[in-house]
Amino acid sequence: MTPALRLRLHQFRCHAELELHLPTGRHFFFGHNGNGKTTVLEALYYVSRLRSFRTALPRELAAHGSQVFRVEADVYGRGAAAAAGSDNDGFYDADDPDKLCVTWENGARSLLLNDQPPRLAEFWGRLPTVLFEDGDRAIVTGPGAGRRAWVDGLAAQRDPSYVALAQRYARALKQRNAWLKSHGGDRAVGDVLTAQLTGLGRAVTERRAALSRELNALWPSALAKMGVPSAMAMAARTPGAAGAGEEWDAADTEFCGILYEPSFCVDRTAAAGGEACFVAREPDWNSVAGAEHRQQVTLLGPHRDDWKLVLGGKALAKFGSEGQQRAGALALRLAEAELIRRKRDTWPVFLMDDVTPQLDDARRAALEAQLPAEALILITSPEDRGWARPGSGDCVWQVSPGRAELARWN
Amino acid sequence: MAEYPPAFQELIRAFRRLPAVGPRSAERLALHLLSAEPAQSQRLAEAISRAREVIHPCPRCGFFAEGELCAICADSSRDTKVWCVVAQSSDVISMEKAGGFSGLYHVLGGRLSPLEKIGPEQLAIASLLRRIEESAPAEIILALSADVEGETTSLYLAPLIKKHGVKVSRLATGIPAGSGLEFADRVTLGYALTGRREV
Ligand SMILES: [Zn+2]
Repeated sequence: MTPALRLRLHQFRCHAELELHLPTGRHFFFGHNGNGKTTVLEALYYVSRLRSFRTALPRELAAHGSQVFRVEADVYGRGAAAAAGSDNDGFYDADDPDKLCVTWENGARSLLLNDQPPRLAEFWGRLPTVLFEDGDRAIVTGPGAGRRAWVDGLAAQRDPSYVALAQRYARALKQRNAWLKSHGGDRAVGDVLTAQLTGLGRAVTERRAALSRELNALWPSALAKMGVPSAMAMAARTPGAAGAGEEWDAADTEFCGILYEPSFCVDRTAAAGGEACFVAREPDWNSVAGAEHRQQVTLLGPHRDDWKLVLGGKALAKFGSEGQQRAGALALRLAEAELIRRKRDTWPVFLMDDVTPQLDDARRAALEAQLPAEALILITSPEDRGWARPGSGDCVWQVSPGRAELARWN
Repeated sequence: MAEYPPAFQELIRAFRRLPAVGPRSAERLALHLLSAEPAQSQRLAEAISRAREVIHPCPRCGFFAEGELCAICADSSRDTKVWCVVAQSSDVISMEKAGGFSGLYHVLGGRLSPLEKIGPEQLAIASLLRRIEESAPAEIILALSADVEGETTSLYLAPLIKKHGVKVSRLATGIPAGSGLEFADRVTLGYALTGRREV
């Protein structure tokens, strides 16, 4: 069973109070901007990942003049409780929802999980989500920070322990950068920070390498299914094979895949049982000591990792057409959803914000064909262009500030 | 629009500077004190100034002391061979509440954090090393939190202490990362103490 949701908003953007019950299936939110349809998606994303995809400032999420906002999501079905087996504290009753609540008040955020304050790692990503945005192409063409954030989000939704690891790495990095800025700060303190950063960075690198391998095995076929002919050869060559295309021969003009370019070197070894195992090497800090001293920032570590998306033997970001890049980004999201499902045994909630207007009919149909029937899918669009079909069970919502009505149930 | 008189506002501002006191609690506290019996305010004011007057850091370990030495350093029944290094005086209270430790303490007064410009000189590290030279303990337990700053401090201190031929151990993990000893419950802390490992 997959999650059905009861979502409640309080003083969240234009909605003073709003409640929606969202059973599994496709939900359409048509209409123009300003009536709060994207806000519904934003609220779900917020309760999932504790940040918005529209603003970095939580206070912008509070209704005008309000110092408080709250998002509550009751998740029915085993969805959220299946999160990372070990964290599941006991028997889970399907009629008993997993209750997530985030309150923001005067700049402070507080969390409740089933009425108890949880650890951040218990809460973050407990309701898994995958976001499809109209500006999605940026994940292919934009700077590496976007790809790092995306991979980290995926890793954390698959495994809550990644949240703590990434936070700890970020903290150690901040401390080491502060130490570099302090010039002539205590040498031994710097050594200790470098040692910590190395250990944490290697752990992050190894987790990312393993995840990249799984992504790489899924992306070419997702891209082929999105109707990109140049991905089809690769997908056909290694149908679903794990680790497809890990080695990229520059002469291979059919190559399609995701190449992880870690800052720390990674060795791949075959562990018992044929599973690939990744070991990050100790970085050579001496080689960057001079440059770090001048620039006063840490120059080695996973905060400098990137991924190269290759299609037809060429970098998609540089040589791909706009349509290929868009399809490449959508294929990443589809691969993300599949990777979350494999680990969590439930589909993430699909949040698709104004994705369709940018797609031609053929590609839109290809995307639609890849959306799982048993997932909860929220789609916003300025107008209905024939997606919501009669007899399909699709829900069409009419949203305006403080109101959400089921306009049509097909 | 009428406002509180200036002296009232100053009282609110003073409360506001205290940790965990928001604007509404500050106002509530001020209102309470001014409407309650004068003796209550008097008692509070006297308690604060007396505490400031008589309490000082123990010259030996840094914990709060009212006499020459703190109650722990002055207690001759304590085991002077095992010391526990903590970040804050409040951590001494947590360890004592947990029970199971009968040695002496050393309060660093914080943890290493370049971000907050706290280096070894800002902490009671030199005094710790001097104290080790003078008193030669057998074992020092580093009871610092498991977050990056606690870890940094532990990793920094361990070799400096070992140079003096003193055995160094650390609390077993189980203290939640990102929180100090104050959040560790008794059971966790007791377990952490018995399960300490040498580094
Ligand atoms: Zn003392």
